[in-house]
Amino acid sequence: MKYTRLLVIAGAFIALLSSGCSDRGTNVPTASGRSSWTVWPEFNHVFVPNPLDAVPDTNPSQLLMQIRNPAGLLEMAAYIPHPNYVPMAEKYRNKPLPLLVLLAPQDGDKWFYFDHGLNEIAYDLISQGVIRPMIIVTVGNEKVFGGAFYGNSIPAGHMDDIMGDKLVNQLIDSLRFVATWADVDTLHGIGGIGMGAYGAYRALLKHPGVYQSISVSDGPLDFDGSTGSGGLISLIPRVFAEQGLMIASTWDYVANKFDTSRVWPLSRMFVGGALAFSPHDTEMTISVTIASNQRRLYIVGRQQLPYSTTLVSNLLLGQDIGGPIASADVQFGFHLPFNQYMAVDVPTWSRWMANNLDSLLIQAGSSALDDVSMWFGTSAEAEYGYHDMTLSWINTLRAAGHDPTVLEYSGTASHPAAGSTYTYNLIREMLIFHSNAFGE
Amino acid sequence: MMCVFDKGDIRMGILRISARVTLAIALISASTLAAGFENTGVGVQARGMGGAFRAVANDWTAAYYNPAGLAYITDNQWGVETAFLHYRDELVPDYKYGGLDSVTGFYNGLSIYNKHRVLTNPTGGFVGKLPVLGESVLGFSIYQPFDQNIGWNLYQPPRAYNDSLSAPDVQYGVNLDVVAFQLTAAREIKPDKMAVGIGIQLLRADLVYHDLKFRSSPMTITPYTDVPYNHIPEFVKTDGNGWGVGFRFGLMYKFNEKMNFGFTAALPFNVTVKGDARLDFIMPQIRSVRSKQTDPNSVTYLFASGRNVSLSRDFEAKLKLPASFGVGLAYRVTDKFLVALDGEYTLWSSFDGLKFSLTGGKGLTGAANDPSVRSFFTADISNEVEWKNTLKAALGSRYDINSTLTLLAGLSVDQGVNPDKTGFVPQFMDTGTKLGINGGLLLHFQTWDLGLGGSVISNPDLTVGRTYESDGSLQGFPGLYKATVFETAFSVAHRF
Repeated sequence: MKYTRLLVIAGAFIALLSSGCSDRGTNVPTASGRSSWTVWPEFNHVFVPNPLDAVPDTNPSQLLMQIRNPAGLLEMAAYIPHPNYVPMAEKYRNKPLPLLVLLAPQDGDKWFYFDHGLNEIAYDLISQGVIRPMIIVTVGNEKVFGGAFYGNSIPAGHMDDIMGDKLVNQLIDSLRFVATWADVDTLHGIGGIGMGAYGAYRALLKHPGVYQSISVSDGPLDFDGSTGSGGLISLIPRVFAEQGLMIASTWDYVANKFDTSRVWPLSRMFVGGALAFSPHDTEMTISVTIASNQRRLYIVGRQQLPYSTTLVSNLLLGQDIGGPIASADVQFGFHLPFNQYMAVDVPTWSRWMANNLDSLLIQAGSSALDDVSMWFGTSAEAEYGYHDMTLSWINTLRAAGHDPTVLEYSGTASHPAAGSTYTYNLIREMLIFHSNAFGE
Repeated sequence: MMCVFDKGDIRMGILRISARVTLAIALISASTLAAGFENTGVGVQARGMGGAFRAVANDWTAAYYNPAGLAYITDNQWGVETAFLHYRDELVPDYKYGGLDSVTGFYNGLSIYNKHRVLTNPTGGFVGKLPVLGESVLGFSIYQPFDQNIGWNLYQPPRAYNDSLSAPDVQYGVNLDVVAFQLTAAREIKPDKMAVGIGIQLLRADLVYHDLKFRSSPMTITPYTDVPYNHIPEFVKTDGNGWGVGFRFGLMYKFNEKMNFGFTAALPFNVTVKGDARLDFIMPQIRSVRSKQTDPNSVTYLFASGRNVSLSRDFEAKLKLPASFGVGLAYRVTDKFLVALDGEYTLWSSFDGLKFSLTGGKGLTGAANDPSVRSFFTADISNEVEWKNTLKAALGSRYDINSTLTLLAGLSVDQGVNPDKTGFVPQFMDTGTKLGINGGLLLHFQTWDLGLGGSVISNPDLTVGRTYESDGSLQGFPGLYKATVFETAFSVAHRF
């Protein structure tokens, strides 16, 4: 009896020891290893007008006159998930891939989204089955001034013609060449951040039916803001402050002092907008000749805005238009949308407002956005009043009967949600949104 | 009229009072303070009684519990004990920088367990009446008054941050052993009434400390300033040791044949720990940015390179061990049954964390040594804490079933050192007022005593919320903490 009792007690201790000391592991997820870099870096393309001229060599690129872009390239890179390098669900193998086009914000090149982890985020989400595999093409913004709103003008380039079917068809052709294993789906999405957000909606409204989903984050989506006197208008005093300008009695003072060579973000934004929406040159005729195998381009005719008010003509960098061989150096003028009193200049501003999204929506008709899935990421901490402009555009869409998904977010005291601080997180949200919009 | 109580009523009364006192202390503890990295006990008998041993102290472990107890040990004896400890902890990280929820790399929302280890904690001692110091009883013992050993794997860099390098297997952890080599002398100053004892300790501290710090990127341009590149992980591992001294003082007072009172004071002095610090920075890997950089030795390349920048430095840290005071009461209810009650107050507020002083350094070369970023790589790695003093209460009993078998049982309640959760980190899993349940048995064979004991110490679940510093870093480590300690101890003692 005594030994039985002892055995029971000893057994209890051993049970306690074994249950309390068993190895249960750490429950740490298995590391999934390095992601493949499945990026095609040179997806650049020279777009030309339709129909093609009889002699292609003489056919000027639609971006030929874009400032300091003598080759007329639209710079692009592409994320192409190869099934051998990106783990993906079996159901997506050998299935056409949807196409997503992402437009860079101001000062963003074609690497902007990759700089913020696009390749790795896509790898992660696809391999985890969170999103379906998709081809993602990133488009760089205009380089000299950081961006020209993906607008449509001689110095900004004829982006309106490019950003619809022409772009998609070109991408499909290129993808057939570089990714013979993949087929491009008829599902297309577009997205952008900041100025890229404006460019994405502009493309959508100019080319209804090309894109079925759009995701954007804070940008100049309503030029005059929710009040009609906010938006970009409220930034005009800050442009003066950037430039060290005072209210003057004559425009010449502003025109002579306005410095386009400095890295002033607001000044550059307004210059980019002016090149897109209120350039001095409204039409241009070019003569192309080939002599000694050298292509020469000559401007043989220019139509320009008749008024000189708000014109900045003598500070802008010149333009080489000779293709590989510089043959001419042209100065482009542009009209800023404000006068020397820091107030809106109505004739110029009206040209800007003609490019405002609500104007483009009216031109396109509300049905242009029917069946388009829309997503917004917006933060009250966004710079340049973009939050108000974004909310104003969202309200316009809702008034037109659309129901976009809106993600309101904020940053932290040390890392406010301004600039591209949270682009990494936004990319995740945007990819998930588009994947859901593309469906199975 | 004369009141008459029989012995059974008295025993039950003592037990009821003891239970109420313990409960009251537990309730007070729960609403107030905690117990750092103090060892859970020494010896099977004391452990089995929940540590309520100050007023008992009748074996070689008296050197730890009450040096005065040695004065009443009539035989020479030696004893050894090995305790097997298993920290069975769990952490559900909630480590987010705020704003638009980020993928920080922490295993947020997952229950992560600490690294599995069954730790052995050997101790031993000798007690003897030597022909020196007159009637004094002398003892020599080796034990660990402080011990902490835990390791966590909680983080892997987000894929977009760097998927070429892996984080170390242990990112948060500590292995701290403070071993006391104690020479003890005790003697009666009032025969059969009062004794005092004093122990002089040589303390040896060994410290291996793992930490993960996030440094704000020193770069000022996008995308370096953007998520996820704006928080650069620095893996810290310090490995060093040092020597110090300490004292333990004890007093034992016998009210009568049945009731003892004990008082103790432990006064360890600071131990300066010196050793090597290894600092590993996993740099952001921004492939697209890196490809645009033309100078691989530039700072802008380094902060997009995805490289591991590794530094070796010398460190020195002061380990401010806490003093403690304790009282105990033991009552022999019958010849076979003894109950004891202990209280201990530990001055954990004197421990201010680990303040590392770094000197020297190897590995800071090339762009990492550029003046614009040098301070980034040499930033302070200290982990300071603001702990509170704690109270521990223990209720224990021993029952001699016969001359061969003694049963032990005990309960302990021990406050947490960090009741307001400030800067709570997973290296020190003191989540609050702990409840210890203890048991054991002693087998007596002639002059030999064999012991087997076990205990379970249950910590309360603790949720640490997110609090941000002005630079956006998180204070401590937010998450849900769960902790339990299992102990099993074996002992052998011989009287001669």
